[in-house]
Amino acid sequence: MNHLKYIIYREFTSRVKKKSFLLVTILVPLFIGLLMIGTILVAINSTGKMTIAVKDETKLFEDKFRGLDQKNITFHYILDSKTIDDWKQNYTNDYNALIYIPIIDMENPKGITCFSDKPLDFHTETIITDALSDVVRNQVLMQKNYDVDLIQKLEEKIPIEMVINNEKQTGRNSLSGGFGYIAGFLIYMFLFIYGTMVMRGVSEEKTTRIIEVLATMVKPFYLMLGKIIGIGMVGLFQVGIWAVLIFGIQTLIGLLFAGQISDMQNVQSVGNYEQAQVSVQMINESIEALNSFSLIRIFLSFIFYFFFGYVFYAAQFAAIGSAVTDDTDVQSLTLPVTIPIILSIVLMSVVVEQPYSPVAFWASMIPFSSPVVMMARIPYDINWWEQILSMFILLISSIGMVYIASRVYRIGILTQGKKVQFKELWKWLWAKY
Amino acid sequence: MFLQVNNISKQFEDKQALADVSFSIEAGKIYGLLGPNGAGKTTLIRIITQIFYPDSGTVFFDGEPLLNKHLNQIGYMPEERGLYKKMKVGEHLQYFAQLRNFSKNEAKERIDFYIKKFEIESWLNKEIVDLSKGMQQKVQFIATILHRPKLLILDEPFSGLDPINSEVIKDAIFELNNNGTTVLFSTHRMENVEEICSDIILMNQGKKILEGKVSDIKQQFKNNLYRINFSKAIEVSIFPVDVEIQEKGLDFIVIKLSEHINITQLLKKLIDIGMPIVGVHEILPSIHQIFIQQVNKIEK
Repeated sequence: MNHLKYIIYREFTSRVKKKSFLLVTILVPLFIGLLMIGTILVAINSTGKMTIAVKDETKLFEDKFRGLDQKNITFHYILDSKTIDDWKQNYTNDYNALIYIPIIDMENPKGITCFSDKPLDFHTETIITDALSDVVRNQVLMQKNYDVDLIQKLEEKIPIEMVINNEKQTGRNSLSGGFGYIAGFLIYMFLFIYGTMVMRGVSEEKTTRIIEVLATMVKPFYLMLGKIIGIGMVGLFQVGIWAVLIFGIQTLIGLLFAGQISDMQNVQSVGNYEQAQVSVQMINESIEALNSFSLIRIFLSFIFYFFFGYVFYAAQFAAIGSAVTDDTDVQSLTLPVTIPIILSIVLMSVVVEQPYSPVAFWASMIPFSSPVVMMARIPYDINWWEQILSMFILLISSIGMVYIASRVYRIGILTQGKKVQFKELWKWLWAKY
Repeated sequence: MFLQVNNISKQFEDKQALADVSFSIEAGKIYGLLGPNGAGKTTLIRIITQIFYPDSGTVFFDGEPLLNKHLNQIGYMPEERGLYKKMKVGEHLQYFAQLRNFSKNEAKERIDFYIKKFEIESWLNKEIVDLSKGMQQKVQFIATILHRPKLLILDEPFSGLDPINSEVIKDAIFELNNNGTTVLFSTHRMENVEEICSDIILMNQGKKILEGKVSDIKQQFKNNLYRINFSKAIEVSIFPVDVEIQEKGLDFIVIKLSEHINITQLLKKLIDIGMPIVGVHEILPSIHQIFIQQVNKIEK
């Protein structure tokens, strides 16, 4: 048992001291940071100033376009007597585009044209078409003697206040879904990355025959357990560094590009005051929701499900690693281990939509899928008993899986030059050696 | 007896790896464990090093049934280099010392002693992958004897070594043996067996087929062969009919005596007829010959 700490220490240090580990650990957050900066810079540069002329023969769109100016887009409503043909010849001297609205039948509005020397971006085009549709719609409603203000009011979404267990809930669903999905996806990725690392480590000890020496000093069970725990700690360490670095880089970018980000948000929000107010409200609700999530619960659950989910799968990968003699065997033997992980991510996308369904419940209890699926459910504040039961099952299953894997491992690791199939693994499981 | 193996049997699926194998090893001697591939040597070693458990039979170590605690008194060096390629020599030895329950200081002391003895101080910070095969074998050997085991099991320790490094390892084995370590030496290279081992255990197809002192076994399998040297050329016709000529040179002859005549009688006859004899010596079979003969006999 005393040996376990040395094995864990070796597995941990031999990996974190590698140059490749340092590179990946530092480069991933840097890459993400650069990606963020790149996105901001592209967004800033792509939203150059535009001035658009509006030649309106109907005179009905004046108010709309005069109030439509944005930080980067200015609309110039033309009131002169020049014809559209004259304007078409010269508009490029002062404007990027020219919108021509002829006399139209409001119930069948055809003939509105936009002239420009290059295509408008999606955002600008949406602003223009929304404005045109809005005016046409109101005009039609007025012609039919409807109360436009009333209809506009009726079209607003009716807000529902969620009260769960006498506690007011705010704006959680969309944010919970997103948060759960990210957490589940991260665990899914880590199961693969670190599980494969265990498999390769075991396989390397077998092919270099070092296992033959180690097995005379330490019981194979401790060798396997030490490797699983050691690499698991590498995973936690790496994820920890990533979390800190990504948070730090994000904060730094936030501070460095505060002005630009605020400009971008202004540009992207619709120039309508009421809608802007709605956006601000949504952001506030999201922040409030984030605080009320019980971040500690999510964080600790993530550590638990990450580690024990990893142990559960890493034990299987270790057993496979001990059985393979060359790389060609790896694919066929790892398939049954990887299928449940992939299935978990498929189930997760269903569970995020319906976190309280029976499928969600059972998928978060079965240890093959619980690390991914339960992590996606936790932000929805599921019952504590469900989470505790799921954690208990995963814990017991991980210990059980380590035991089962060690039965295969102790024989597989010393078996050389034989192509192993599942039939052999099953025999090894029960064999007395 | 230092190591007593009693009626050990081991079956793997359809293959009988060991069948009722018994032998004993005296303390302080060097034993050769010989046998062709598949003879059961590795399985036997794995049972002694407690990697496998026997299906039946018992092993006694220093008078006690073999237990986990005895592992710390056994050192095993397999034929293949069991080293972490990407680890530094010093880290590697430190790790093995820790697994042998040494404290950090004890480990350092032992490592310092052996790296000086084997003159590898300058390699301490090199990765194993950068070392030659001979150097790796030295590191492997140090890792095996760091804990000064009472029983040292070596599987082809000279495989791939140049003559100089072979001598270094050989001297180290003798030194350990002189200091009381019992050595069990598994090999195919018979020249090493004759040079190093006092006793042998020959195995084939999971069974022990021969056991004993090298000199006794040679006597047991001798063929009454003699080489006689003369000071001048001789004629074959002078030899009696009880003597079979095996080889003849200008001034020597190799003969095989029948059961009706011994060497003293033959020499007397030769001297009586005035043959100028300058030397006589008995030709004993080599361990290699005995090995081949015994293995072939069983396989036939």
